[in-house]
Amino acid sequence: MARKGLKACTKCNYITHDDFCPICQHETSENIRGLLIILDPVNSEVAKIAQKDIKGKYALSVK
Amino acid sequence: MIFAVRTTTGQEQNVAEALASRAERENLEVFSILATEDLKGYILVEATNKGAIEELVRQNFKVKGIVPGESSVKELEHLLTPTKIIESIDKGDVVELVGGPFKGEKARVTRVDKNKEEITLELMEAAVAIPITVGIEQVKIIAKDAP
Repeated sequence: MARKGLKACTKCNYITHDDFCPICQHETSENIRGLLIILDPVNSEVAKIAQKDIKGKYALSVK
Repeated sequence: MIFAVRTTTGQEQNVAEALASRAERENLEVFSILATEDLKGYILVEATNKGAIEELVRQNFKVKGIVPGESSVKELEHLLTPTKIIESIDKGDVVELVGGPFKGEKARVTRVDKNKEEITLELMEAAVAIPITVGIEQVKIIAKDAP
């Protein structure tokens, strides 16, 4: 389980402390699993597969 | 290229965050770091070469070493695109409700509606088995039904 207070967007999985995602304004959820940190979205192949084009922390799954 | 880094079990996400901030601070050629719950004791780091990883984990006491060899991004595809929970849930599975009025209760799945993404449950601790239908987002799987 993720640490307390961390939430992730239910749409784009971006991890934040807020109730709404700073990227897509969707609701966030505390029920998150896994962690994917994208440091260089341009060169990262993982980012392309996961379809993340913004640098940051993402959950692998959000319920 | 993907490299596996062995860490203290249970510290995968902390190590991933520590390594990410170090990579940024020292401008290392590390592209992404993955900590998944399916892979206990390891994190996966994407970098151009092993040298960058060696530099990254140097003097980090929670890192136990780098696994020899490398992996390709294709092998991680299943980790990055998790299957929907509705696909993995079956009749007879034991679930825990994580929301709604029965939060915290354990229940057995009696029916799965894949189109509506709803499941019908019977609470295990109830004296009389009353079927309740909840959305898939309200449960988490605890145990699969033994075949």
